[in-house]
Amino acid sequence: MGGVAKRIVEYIVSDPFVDAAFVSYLVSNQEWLEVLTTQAKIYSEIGDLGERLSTFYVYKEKAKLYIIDRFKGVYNEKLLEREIKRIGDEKAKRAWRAVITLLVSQQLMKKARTGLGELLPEEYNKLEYIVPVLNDLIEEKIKQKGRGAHNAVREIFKKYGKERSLNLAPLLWWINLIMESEAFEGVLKYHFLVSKESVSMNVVERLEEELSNIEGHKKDLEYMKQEFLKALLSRCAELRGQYINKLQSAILFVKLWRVSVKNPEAWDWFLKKEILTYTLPIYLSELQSLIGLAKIKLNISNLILPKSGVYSGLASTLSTLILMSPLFMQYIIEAQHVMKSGGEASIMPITPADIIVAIARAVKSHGETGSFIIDVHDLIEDIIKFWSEKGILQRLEEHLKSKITPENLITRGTFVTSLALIINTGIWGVYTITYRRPEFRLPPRMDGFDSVYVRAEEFLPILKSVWG
Amino acid sequence: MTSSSCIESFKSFVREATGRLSFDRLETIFKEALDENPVFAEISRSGALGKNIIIILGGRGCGKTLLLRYLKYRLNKEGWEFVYVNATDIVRLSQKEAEKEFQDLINKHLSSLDSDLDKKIAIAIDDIGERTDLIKDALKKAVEDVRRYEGRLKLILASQTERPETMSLLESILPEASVAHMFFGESPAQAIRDSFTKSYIKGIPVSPFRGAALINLDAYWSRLRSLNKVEDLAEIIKKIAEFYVKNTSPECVREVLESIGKIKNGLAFIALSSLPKVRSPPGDIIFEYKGGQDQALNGLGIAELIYRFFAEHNELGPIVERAERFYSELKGVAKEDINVDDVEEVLLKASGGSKLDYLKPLKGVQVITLLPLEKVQQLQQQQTKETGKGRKRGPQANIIEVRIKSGGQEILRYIILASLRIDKRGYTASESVKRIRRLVSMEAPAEAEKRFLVVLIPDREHLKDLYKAVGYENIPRIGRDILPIYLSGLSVIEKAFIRLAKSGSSENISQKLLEQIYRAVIGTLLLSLRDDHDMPRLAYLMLPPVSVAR
Repeated sequence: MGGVAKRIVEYIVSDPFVDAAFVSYLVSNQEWLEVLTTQAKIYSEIGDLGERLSTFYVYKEKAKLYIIDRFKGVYNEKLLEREIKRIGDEKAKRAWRAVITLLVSQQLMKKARTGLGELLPEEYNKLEYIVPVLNDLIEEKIKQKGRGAHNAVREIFKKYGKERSLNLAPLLWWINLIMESEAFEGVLKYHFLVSKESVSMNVVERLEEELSNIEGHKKDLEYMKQEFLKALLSRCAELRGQYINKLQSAILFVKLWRVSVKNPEAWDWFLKKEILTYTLPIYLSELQSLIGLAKIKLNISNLILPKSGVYSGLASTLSTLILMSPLFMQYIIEAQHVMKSGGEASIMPITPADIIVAIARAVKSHGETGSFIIDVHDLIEDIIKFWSEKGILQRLEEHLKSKITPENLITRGTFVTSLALIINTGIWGVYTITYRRPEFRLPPRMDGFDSVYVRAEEFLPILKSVWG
Repeated sequence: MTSSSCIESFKSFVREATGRLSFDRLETIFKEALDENPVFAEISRSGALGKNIIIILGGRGCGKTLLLRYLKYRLNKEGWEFVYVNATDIVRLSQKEAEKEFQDLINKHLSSLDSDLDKKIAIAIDDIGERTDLIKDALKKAVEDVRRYEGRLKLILASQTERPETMSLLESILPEASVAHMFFGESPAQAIRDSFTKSYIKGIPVSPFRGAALINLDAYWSRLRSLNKVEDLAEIIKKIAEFYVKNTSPECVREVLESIGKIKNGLAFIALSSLPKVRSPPGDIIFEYKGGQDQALNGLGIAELIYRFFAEHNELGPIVERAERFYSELKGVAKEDINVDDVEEVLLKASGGSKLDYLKPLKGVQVITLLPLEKVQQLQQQQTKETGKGRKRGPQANIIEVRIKSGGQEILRYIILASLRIDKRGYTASESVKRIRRLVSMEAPAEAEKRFLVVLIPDREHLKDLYKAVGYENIPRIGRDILPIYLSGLSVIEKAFIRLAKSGSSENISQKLLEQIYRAVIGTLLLSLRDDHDMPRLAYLMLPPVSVAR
């Protein structure tokens, strides 16, 4: 190398391929996978992630050796050993959590008997699909020292083609979200700030106004806005002067594994039009404010932390549904990009989190005890209002290329499927009821309903238990 | 026993009846005394036959087809036309073609209902599990048809419990019919599943719903699967023999019943040494299953026992006679006190002495040597370069190793036995509390790794000591991998049985009978040893699983 080390943005600690290797090593072992599958069921029932299991201990010790062996060709071996010794336990823990929560999300959809093929692809249910994909990605990355992470991802993405890539996307997003929860916390912070547009954009306009007093300055509000947003993201992600591409490496699969974006390496779309990581902090902050949390918690790890107490199992189920919701929304958008040639009208993604927020808002106005009935039409109106307040509506309309109206959401929305996910996975306090006429049908039995019956004292303690 | 011509013809009749007979053949050979069959009589009394949908379940050999034969007889008397269909006759075509074939069959009968308003048709589909997945939409439609022709169309579905498709039928296909709530009430999937799971362990053969009934034939027998019910079982065996003989040569009734009457309790005891099975997955449904050399406490199992008693009298006769005397001894015990240690020892002895190849008792084994706990230790040793010398090896325990085969894989499960011992003043010994705490803290129980800590507790009053032992954070695990099992549900006769089984080898009991005794421990006592929710969780873990591939 002539004494000059080639600068690569990813490093052992933030290399998503190291993360991928931790996951693929765990999932490749059939015996471990059986333990994980049972533990996922336990997590959704009593909230225990099984991090005291012998299997976890054996896995993390063996995984560290495996990672060193796998990546010694691309990193300095001694440095690799030292770093893996330092961060290996944490990486293994995250891989363990990522796989367990992924399995829980699969089990929930199976239990609800709905959602696959609509909110997520059928392939989402098959964890075994992910092993060769992760291995392909790792192989692509390590075949050449200094190969950029984004190049490796784009290569495999291209190799698989749009349809296969689309079907694998939610699995990769999930793994990336959990494994790099700290990096994503920064991203979520950024989107949280942007959602309060009045705060940030007023500053941008004022600054550009100030600059326009200087002779020769050409006013360009859009340019200022983009640079300002980039700066905000750098601050939120604690980049402290480092290249923003370092962040890109950490959130690699979520950012680059997109069918709907022409040039995913660019930042412009991510700063202004992103849906997946934009909606998550909005759901989290809104729900936390509704249950009266003093400070907002945007860390994904907090959401999936082992739960305890009477509602531990239900809280785990609810937190999984909340975490899945942005994936549902993003997948529906992506899927329409692949199938847009058919010319069919857009599917309008209403997620379980949208419904949970709408119910929690209704609980707030009706009181925390007692019960009430909300007409589905009113609930949908509330969801649109929430989207509009938080900037989700504008972004969705841009992606869906069709107007989001209550009528469209009723005829082409995923409200019923998302509601079925909440009800059929056993969340207490939310039921369907027919008040006027059975306008909607709840899968899988297709029971008729037109309203949602909420028992606040059953539902609210579960929601509160999500954050302990 | 000398064989008279009566006995000879009875034997050949029972032998034929234990084979796999078609519905037509059963109808031909069983014409008499149908109302006297004790199983049919109970079902008839339950009111199940008046329901619009009747689901009949049971393991292999439970007598589903014979029950259908009885239903034909009863329903014909009430003016119903009975149509028998064996689902296996629906050719394995594509789903679309199979659905059409089934739909056409139903439609044919519906049109006759349309043309004759006085007509009533009961359509019985036997072995529905064999084709459930192919005709699921048509089945849902058939449920709607029953609603449409309510009172004139009856749907009877019979399926083997062990078939994987049976659970689809109960958990998704029937509950997803649009009118399911009219027949099964609100939350039909949950209602059907709960009734089915509980029917065996509570001994309730007929679960009535709004417009349907679920008949679990195995649940009829599970009620008799108890040492407290030996005499009731003996009477049922006698009645079954009477039912058979009345259908063969009524003049021989006296001779057959006299032979059986002398040793009926011994026969019942031998019948109890059969083992119920656990349906795997999901692992919480117990049923009777007659397969291969396995005995079963069901219609076929009893018929075979009766046949063997007459056909292999030289071999079986002495064992039955000794069992009869053994039962008399047990019955003679007026009072018996046993403690948690006695039960632990008998469970261990039964695991080895019953000669069941999937069970292996491990006495006084260091828990740390169980997999994958052992692997952790090895890795820790490698890291610290520690030698084996002087290392602390942790607590020892009596363990039952269960090796089960499921889906071509072998699954290893460990049942770690522990007890809450009570001192003379009635307090829980602190040593036993500490021991349980230690086992839990070293992760000896771990559901995902298939290690279960079974804690034998004298009675419900001492459950709080288990809570103390495991600690607050582990309380949700109680009922999952920490299983409290009460002794208080055991009767005097069961306690006496435990005492005899414990010292069995020193008594003058043949090896063969001892094996039957140990099997009876597993086949009966495990169902009496229940947890704090009255569930036989130890039975779920220790009974042999049966999984039938699709």
